[in-house]
Amino acid sequence: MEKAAYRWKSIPVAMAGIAAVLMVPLLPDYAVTLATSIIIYSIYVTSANLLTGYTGLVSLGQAMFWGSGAYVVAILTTRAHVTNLYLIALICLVTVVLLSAFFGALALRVKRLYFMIVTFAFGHVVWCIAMYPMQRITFGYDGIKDIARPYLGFSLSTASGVSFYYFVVMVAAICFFGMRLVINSPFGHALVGIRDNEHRMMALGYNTYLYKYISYMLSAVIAGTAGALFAYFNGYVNPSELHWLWSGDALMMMFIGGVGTFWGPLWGALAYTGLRYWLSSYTMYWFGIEGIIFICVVLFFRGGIAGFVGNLRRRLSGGSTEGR
Amino acid sequence: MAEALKVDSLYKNFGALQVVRDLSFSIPAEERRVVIIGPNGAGKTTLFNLISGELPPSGGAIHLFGRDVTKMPCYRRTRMGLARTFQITDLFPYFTLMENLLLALQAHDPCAYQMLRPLRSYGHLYEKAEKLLRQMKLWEKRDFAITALSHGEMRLVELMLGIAGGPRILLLDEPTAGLTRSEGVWLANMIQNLLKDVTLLIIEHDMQIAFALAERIIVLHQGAIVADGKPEEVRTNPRIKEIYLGTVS
Amino acid sequence: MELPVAISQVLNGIAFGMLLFLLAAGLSLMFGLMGIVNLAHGAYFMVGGYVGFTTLEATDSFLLAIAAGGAAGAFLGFLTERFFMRRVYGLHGHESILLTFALSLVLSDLSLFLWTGTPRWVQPPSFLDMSFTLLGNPYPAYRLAIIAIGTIVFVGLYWFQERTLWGATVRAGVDDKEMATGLGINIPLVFTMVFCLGAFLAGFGGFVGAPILGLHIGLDIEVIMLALAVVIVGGIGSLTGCLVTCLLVGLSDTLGKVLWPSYASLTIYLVVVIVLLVKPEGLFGKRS
Repeated sequence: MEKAAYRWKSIPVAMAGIAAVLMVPLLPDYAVTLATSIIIYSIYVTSANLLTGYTGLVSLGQAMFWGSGAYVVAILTTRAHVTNLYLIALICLVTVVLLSAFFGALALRVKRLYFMIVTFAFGHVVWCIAMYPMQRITFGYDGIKDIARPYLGFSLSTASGVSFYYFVVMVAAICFFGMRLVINSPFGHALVGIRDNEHRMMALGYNTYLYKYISYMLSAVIAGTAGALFAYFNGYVNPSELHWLWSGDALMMMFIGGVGTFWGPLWGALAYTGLRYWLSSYTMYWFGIEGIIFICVVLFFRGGIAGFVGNLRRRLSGGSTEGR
Repeated sequence: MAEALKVDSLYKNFGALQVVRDLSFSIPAEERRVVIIGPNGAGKTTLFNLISGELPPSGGAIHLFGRDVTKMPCYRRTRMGLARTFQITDLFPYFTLMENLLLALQAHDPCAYQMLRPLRSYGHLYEKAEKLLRQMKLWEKRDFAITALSHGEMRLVELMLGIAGGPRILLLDEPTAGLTRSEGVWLANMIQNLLKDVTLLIIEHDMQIAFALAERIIVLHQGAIVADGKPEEVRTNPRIKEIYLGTVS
Repeated sequence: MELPVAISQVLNGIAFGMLLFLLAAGLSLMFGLMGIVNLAHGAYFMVGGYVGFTTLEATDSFLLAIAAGGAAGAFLGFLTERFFMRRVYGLHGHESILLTFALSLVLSDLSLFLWTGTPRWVQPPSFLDMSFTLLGNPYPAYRLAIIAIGTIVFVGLYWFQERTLWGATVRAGVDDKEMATGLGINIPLVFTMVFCLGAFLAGFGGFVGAPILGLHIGLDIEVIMLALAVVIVGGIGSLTGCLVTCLLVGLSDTLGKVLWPSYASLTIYLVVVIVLLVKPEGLFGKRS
C-alpha cells in the first residue's frame, strides 16, 4: 500500500524530469553542449555504479572501456571510413566484450584492494599500448581528430547540436532502462547480495565469480557505449580517455552523486560537470576544489547527493526516517 | 543407497597448527541427526568449513552421496544438496527479512541468472518464502530490516537461509548459540519436527540439547574423533568426562 | 651500449631505485600495518621537495633544506592520519585510496598555487657538486651520495625494525593487529608514528631527489605509480624485499628508457599484473 502511494507521488517528479530533459534545446547552444556531456558522463558513471555500487567491486580501470569505445569509433570513422552507425556499434560491442572478458577473468582472481590495483595496472598497460605500439593507428599523444557525427539511417543526421543531444538522450534512456531492469531482476538482487556478503552467497550456492564476471562485462559495455558517444560528441579522441585518472573521475562522480543509488550517477555527473564549467571561469585550481568536495563527501555525506535528496524528500513528506 | 557424507582421513593445518587430524567418519543417507560435540578449539567449525568447501583440506577426501567433492567449489556442493548455517549470524544486513529469504530461495531457482525480468514477477518464490515465514512465525515481520530483529529471530533467519534451498544434508553450526535454554529447546524441537527428511549434522555446545536431539554423537577433541556412537554409549564413556573436566590434555 | 655508459646507466638506475625506496618503504609499511594504500604519498614527496627548495633559497643551507623537506612530509603525514585516515580504518579499503587520491589532488593544486607551474631545479650542495672519473667517463658524485643515503636509511630502518622495541611493536602490528592490541600496545599511536615516519622519508626523499629528478607539478603521480608497483611486486612485510624490488624497478625504468624508450612503463606494469595474478602476496611477501 505505502509503496504504491509512493509510486503515484513520484509520477509528477518523473514527468517534470522528462520535460526538463526534452526542453534543454530551448536553452542557448553552450547549455545544450553542457547537457549532452553531462548525460554522456552519467552513462559512464552508471557503468562504474553497477560494478561498485551494486556489485561491490571498486575498479580503477573503467577508462579502459570508455577509451576503447571512443577509439573504436574514432578509428573506424576516420581511418576505415565506416559510416554505418550500427556496424560501428556492433564492432564497439564486440571489442569491449572481448576486452572485458579477458581482463575480467584475470582481475577477478584477486579481491578488494588488490582488484582495484590490478584493474589500475591493466588500464595503464592498455594506455601504454595505445600510446606506443599502436601509435601508427592511434597517433599517440596527438589523438584522432575530425570524427564526424553519425547518421542514424532514414536520412536522420545528428550533425546539429540539438539533434545530437536527442540522440544521446535516446541512448541514455536505453542504458538507464536496461540498468533498471538488471538491478530489479533476480540477477541484480544477487549482485547486491554479493556486495554485502559474498561469503554467505557462496554458502547459499551462488557461483559468485560468474556473477561478478557478468557484472564486469555489463559494466564494460555501458562504459564503452558512453565512450563511443563521447567520441562522436567531442569529434576528437586522445589517450587521456584511456588514462586511469579518468577512471578515478568516474569513482569521484559516483561517490559525489551517491554510490549504489540509481540516479546517483546523473547527480554526480551534473555536479561535477556543472561545477567544473562554472569554476573554470574563476580559478585554475579545479582539481584541488574537486578533491576538497570529494573528501567532504567521503567523510561527511556517505550517501552523496542522492542520499541527501532522499533524506530531504522523506523529511518534507513528513514520513519518519525509520527503517521499513 | 550410498552414504550421504563420507569423510576420509581429513587433515587441516594452519601453518604449524594442526586443527583437524586424520578424521574419518561416514553418515548413511537414512541417518537424521548427528550431533558433534567437543570443547572449544576441537576443530568443529573447521570441519564444517572443510565439508562445505569454504576451506581446502590439507589432506584426505570428502565424498557427498558417493561422489568425491574434495576439490569442488562451495557453490557446486550446495547444488548437490548440501547447505549450512553459521555459528555467528551471517546475514545480509541491508536487506529486509523477506529479501534475505528470497536471496536464498532464488539461488537454486532457474531464474537465478535472469536479468531482464523483475524479481517481483516470480510469484512462486514469494509463496515459498511466505510458507517458510509462517512456519517460523515471522510472517508479520517480513518487511523488517534484518538489523531490527532480535537475536533469537536472527538465529531463526539463519536457519531459514539454510533450509530454503531444500537441502538433503544440512550442517548446523551451533543453531542455539546465544539463546536462552528455553528458546534453545524450542528451536531444537522446531528443527526436529521441520526437517524430518534431511540429514542433519549439528554442532551443539549445550549438552542437554545435544543429547536430546541426537541419534548419534561424534566427540571431537584436538582435531580428532575420540568417540562416535549412540548418545547413551557416549554418555557413559569415561574419556568424555575427562575431556570435559579438563583432566586430559 | 658501451661499457662505461652502461655502468653509469646502471648507477643511475640504482640511484633512482634508492629514491624509490625512500618513498616505498613508508608506503609498504602503511599497507602492511593499516591495510591502506596512501596515494597522497607521492604528494608528500613532491611537497617535501618544494619546501626544501624554498628553504634552500632562503637559508642557502642544503642540510637545513633536507630537514625542512622531511619535516614538511612528516607534518602532512600527521595531518592525513589524524584527520582523514582515522575515519576510514576498518572500512572496505577503497575509501583510503579514494580519500588519499583526493588529498593528492588538493596538495598538487596547492603546490601549483605556491610554487607555480614552472619546473624548478636544485643544484647539488657545493661539496658534492663534482664528478668522479669512472673508466674514463665522469660520473656525478651526487648520485653516488644518493646511493649512500639510501643504503644508510635502509640499514637504519632495518636496525629499527629488528632491534628496537618500537620496531618489534610495529612488526607485531603487521603480523596480528588483534594480538598486538591484546598485548596492550597503543595501536593508534603506532599508526600515527608509522605514518609520520613514512611521510618523513617521502618528504626527505623528495628534496634529496630534486637535483636529479627536478621539481614539477605531476612529479607526485609519476613517483607514486612506480612506488605502488614496488609495493605490489615486492609484497608487504619485508624491508629487504622492498629494497630489492625498488632497485629492480629503478634499474628497469632507467635502462628501459634508454634501451626501449616507448615500452619502459609498459614492462613494469606487465610485471605488476603477472606478479599479482601468480603470487598476490608479492615476491618477498609473507603468505597470510
